[in-house]
Amino acid sequence: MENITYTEAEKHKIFNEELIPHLASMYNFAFRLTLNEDDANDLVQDTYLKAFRFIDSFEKGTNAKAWLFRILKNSFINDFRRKSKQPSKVDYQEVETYYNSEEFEPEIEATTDLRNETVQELIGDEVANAINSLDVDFRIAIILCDIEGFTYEEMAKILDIPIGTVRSRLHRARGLLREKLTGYAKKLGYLQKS
Amino acid sequence: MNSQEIIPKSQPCTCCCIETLYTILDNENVVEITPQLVNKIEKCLPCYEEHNLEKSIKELLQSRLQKISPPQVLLDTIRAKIELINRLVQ
Repeated sequence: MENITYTEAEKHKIFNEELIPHLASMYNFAFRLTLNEDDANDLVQDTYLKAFRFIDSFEKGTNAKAWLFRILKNSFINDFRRKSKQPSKVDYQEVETYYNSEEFEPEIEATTDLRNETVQELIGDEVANAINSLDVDFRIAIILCDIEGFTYEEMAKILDIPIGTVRSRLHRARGLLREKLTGYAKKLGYLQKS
Repeated sequence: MNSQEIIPKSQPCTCCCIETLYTILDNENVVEITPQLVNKIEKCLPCYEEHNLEKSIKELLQSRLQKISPPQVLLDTIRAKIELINRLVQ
């Protein structure tokens, strides 16, 4: 899309009417990425300042939420995580290549133990712990699809990856989440330990 | 459901694939969902269980994960910083 030149009044109108309404979703997304309220605050501020600065590249009336999520995700990956003092993460591409390779055999036993009834027993803290413990790229896939309700096409745009990769990443993410939930269920005695 | 048509859980399912289940679960159109396909899934225990479990987990994520309200000061700070940038630019 070619940039549009908005007047100052138009910029503020778009900002207030189309971007600000997504503040709560953005804050929750940022919190699920950074796992820290102060860092989430900084990340959301940074995202909205960038959004305002580059508002001419946003076509009013289009998908503002997806546009903002894309900026936030990029800020987190490119700037925020690099600056943070967290230990370096495993290279995601390596993880994805491994999970997509024939070497990878999912832990069928762990995943088939989980049942509908067991899932109902789990409380918010266990669910939050399970999702927070996933590698950030898998966590993002689950958040975008299952919590925020983005379509695969929107996810592909937010993540800058083909739709096929969205589907395979989501598949792996769901498998891993299920393993984590199974682990919690076993720990809490909802499932028999093998 | 006719029990003779149920595939035992230990056997791998060959009637459909994960993409079909995700198509239904995520309301996507990756594969065409025909009445025949829906009928097959309903009669296949592994697929039926897989679909129900994924659906439960998705519902669990939507209902049990606490939504955190952003602090009011966050919006005020964003507005103040934008005003400051505008003033500096002018």
